Amino acid sequence: MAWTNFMILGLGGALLAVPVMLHFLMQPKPKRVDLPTLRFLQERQHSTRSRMRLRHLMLLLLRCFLVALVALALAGPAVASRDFGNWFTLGGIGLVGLVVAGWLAATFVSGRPNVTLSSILGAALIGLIGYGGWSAWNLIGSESSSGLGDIQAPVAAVVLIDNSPRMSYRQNNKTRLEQAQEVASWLVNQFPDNSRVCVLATDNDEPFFSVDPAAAARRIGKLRINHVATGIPETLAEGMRLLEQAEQTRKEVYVLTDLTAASWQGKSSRSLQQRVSRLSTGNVIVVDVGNADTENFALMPVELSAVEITETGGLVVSTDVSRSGSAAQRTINLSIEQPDYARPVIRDGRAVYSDKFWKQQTTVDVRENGVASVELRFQQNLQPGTYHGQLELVGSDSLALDDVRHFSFQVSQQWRGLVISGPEVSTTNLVSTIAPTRSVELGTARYDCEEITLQQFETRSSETDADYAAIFLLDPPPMTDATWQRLIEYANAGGGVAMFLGDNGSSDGKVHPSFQSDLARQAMGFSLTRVWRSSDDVFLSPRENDMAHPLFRSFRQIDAGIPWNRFPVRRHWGSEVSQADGAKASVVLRYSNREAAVWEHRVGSGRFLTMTTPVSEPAWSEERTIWNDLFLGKPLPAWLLVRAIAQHIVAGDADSLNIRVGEMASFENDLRTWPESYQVFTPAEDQAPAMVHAIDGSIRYRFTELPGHYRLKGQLDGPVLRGFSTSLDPSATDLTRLEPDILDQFLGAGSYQVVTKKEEIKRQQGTNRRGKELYPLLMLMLLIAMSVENLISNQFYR
Amino acid sequence: MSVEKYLKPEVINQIKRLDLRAQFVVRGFLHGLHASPFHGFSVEFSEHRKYSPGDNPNDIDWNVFAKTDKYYIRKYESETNLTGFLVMDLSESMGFTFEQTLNKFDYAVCLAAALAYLMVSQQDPVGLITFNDKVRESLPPRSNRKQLGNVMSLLSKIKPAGQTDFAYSVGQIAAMLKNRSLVMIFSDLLSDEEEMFSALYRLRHGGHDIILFHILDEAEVSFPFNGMYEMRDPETDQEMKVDADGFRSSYVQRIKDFRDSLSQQSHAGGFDYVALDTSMQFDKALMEYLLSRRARG
Repeated sequence: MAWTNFMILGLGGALLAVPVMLHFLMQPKPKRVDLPTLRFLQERQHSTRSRMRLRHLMLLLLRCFLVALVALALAGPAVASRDFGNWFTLGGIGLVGLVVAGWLAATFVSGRPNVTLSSILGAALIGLIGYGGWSAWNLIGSESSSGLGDIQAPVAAVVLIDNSPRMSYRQNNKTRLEQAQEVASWLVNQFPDNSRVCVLATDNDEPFFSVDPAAAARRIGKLRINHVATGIPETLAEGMRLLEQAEQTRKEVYVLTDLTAASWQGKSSRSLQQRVSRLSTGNVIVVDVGNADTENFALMPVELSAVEITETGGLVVSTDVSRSGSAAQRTINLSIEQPDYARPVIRDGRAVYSDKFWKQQTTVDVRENGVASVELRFQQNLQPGTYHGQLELVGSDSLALDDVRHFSFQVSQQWRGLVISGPEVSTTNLVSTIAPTRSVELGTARYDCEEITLQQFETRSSETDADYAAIFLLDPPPMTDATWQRLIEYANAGGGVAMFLGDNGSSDGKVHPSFQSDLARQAMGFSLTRVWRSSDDVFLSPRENDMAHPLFRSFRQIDAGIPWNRFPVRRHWGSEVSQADGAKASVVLRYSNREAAVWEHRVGSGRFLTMTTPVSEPAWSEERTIWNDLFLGKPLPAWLLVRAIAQHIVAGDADSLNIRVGEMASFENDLRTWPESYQVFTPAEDQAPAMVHAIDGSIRYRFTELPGHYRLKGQLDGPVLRGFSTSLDPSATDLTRLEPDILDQFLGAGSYQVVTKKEEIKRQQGTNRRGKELYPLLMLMLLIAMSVENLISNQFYR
Repeated sequence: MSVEKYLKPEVINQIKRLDLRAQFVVRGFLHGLHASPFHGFSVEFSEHRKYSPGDNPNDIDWNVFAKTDKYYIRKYESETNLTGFLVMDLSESMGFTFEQTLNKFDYAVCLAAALAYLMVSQQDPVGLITFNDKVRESLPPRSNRKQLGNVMSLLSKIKPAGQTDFAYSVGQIAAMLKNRSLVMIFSDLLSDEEEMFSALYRLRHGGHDIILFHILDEAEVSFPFNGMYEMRDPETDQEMKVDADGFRSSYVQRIKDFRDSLSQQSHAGGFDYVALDTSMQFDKALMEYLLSRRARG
């Protein structure tokens, strides 16, 4: 409990003597009257005189209470807001105690006490006194750390400003961040002298106290949108940790946020709640600079039909347009940059990029708070290289960051594939899938396939292997160690191997020793166990998590519509990873019985994909059971899967072409074909290019905080251009407002205050620093006490 | 309304002369009676008859003679005479009033005068006795007009003073009365109950009828005091500080018990008890007298 004028309390205590003195010295004289029937009064003189004395005593106590109340009110007591309810309850207990005590006194004075009732009430009174004393002791103890009192005492404060991309939403000609900065600057100037202020933003920086308010204000002024912002709970926890170390008794936390759900994501930290609860109630102030009624168009991240295409290949760019607000129509531009080896260059301190050579436009209608899909097709003969493109909403809106999406893709020469098959194994399914006849005729096929038998492969020189981008092994029979070694070396050099195991791998129903050799395990990354047999109830069954793998890029949009269960797998190889396998492979796809269907194993610079059931099965056989129906009927799933595998083993790195902001970009960089170092031109035009060097055969770049195109320019027998694109996660621009109970989960219900205006902050600061004032309550009690005193004294002295 | 207003103490207080007070009270009372079951009651002459020798010439109605030139005398329904004694308590407590027009003594005097007037009008002999600690004055009963003047004169002169000794005084009165009489006692009866009633019983055993007019001030009945008072008993000079609000309910109950006790004891003794206070109209007392008289007639 804090006091504004503690001295008055002492003065008030001294003034308590006044009513006592007046009571004894200046008792008003009663009126004199004759009453012949006085003897009837005299009969009851004893009890009435006692009652009269009691009433006099009550009047005296009441008057003392009045003086005490006046002194208390003038002394300006204040209690911590969180304890106000407890103090109020304590006051109630005191009042009940007084009533009970008064009643007991009255019954004893009257000389006719009800023993049972008096005993019960006496016990209740003792209980009330005990409980009241204990509560008061606890309250006083808990308030000693609340730091109430002098409003000008220095504070230790954390000012956390949300600078996530959502804060760039523009309202009333200001972004939310600008509004937050304005309030924060005002706040810093409000703090008492010698206060310590930590300005914190959601950018994962180490929290620290600014040396002075000016430094804090400068830090606030310099804050910019951080595209890789961390969550507020995480940042706040760091700030609270620092705050606890501050020596100031009074600690305050201000969180300036737009209260979007995405800002408050993360694990509900119990330690954060505990830290918040250790502060006085209301000392955590959440300043809401957002609003519920938002108007915005947003482009969702772009989906490409392929990240790597051949020179004649086409590209489908698709995305969703989401709308917050009323239904509206917008135009969307798709543009692709022309590769220009003379660019990018720095001219007049700014980067100059390549021109856009291809554009397409479409218009989309989006219903109120709805989502509309957009698909744009790009078809052009291109030179091999890395291309950058962007989708852009025409016109401006309140949140510009999600109006444009960047992407990159790779154009390569047609891949040469070597299809090796076992005896009497058909290559038709595979070849017609990765190099359809029609495409071959038009020259748009991705693959140029050459078909040979395993025997032919083993007799050929391994020097020719480098001419192929990928090797496909269809139901291979047992292979020699030399062949396994050859395949390993091929993959090591960056080649892609896809092996589809089948009936030829078995020997008397067991795994042939060739597939259990060390080299075989070294190549595949796992061991075969046995042939699994089942009826028609086992099929390929990708889980939701599997869909994140690049292999399934082309599946993502139609995932729910793929009828996997119509294509049963009756036989497949069982597999497992053991310690002896050394480098481990990972399961990319499973069957419905949770056994592995596709393994991926990184071998050197290349990949070794193994499917545990073949894609070369005939429709029917008299001699043996058909392993699966994957290519029976209209085999859309198998067709998509085989194409994806064929794409993945040759263009696995293409995934690094499009990453989220903040992620590390990583490229294979064989010095035989690529430069050793590159200049990196970021999306910030005014930023000088940085140099990156190849380490261990790869280029890694981690400063990807901005969304846009990152262009890598190197020299190797002339200029070499590579690059990648970054884009914001959809949640970074999700303006959905936070549910109130979510805030409770992080900060604890009742432990914080949400305000929107400076006046509210000021009021809350006053309440927190001075405590909740009891003045109005005391004045009310004074009024009631005066009325009662007036009533009683009128009865005495009228 | 008319003459009935004179039954109200506050109205009668405006008339200074006692004989007029008595006259007005009785007129008001009789006027009220005309519309009541007591019409034609013996207080009025019911018819005229011709004068015959032997009749009292005083009974000749001269108004009728003036109109008819014949002698008629008023014939009363009740021809029996009732000797009444008005017994006035002169104690100082009877002089008490609290913000009232008439104090208890004035009220008693007024009532006694009216009764005297009524009795003399009926040719009943009426006497007057005053007492406080003992019998102070007495007028022997007479029924002539002059007696009325004497009674009025004495009632006008007496003042309440001193302490009362009700039992002793009533004992004296019992000794004084030779013939069977109607004794009408006007008192606040603030004496020892037991002694008081043993004296009254003795009086009753002497063959006398008793009407006990118990007169209290309105304030003594309703206790209209609020706040702190220092109260004094005018007879004993005892004082007491009183929180009036704390006392009221118990006091009012005590007065009620007191009156009930008096009433029960009166009933047991075979005499009438009339509880009055100074705010009540006089007709209640007069009616009580008439009822008593009829019972005896």
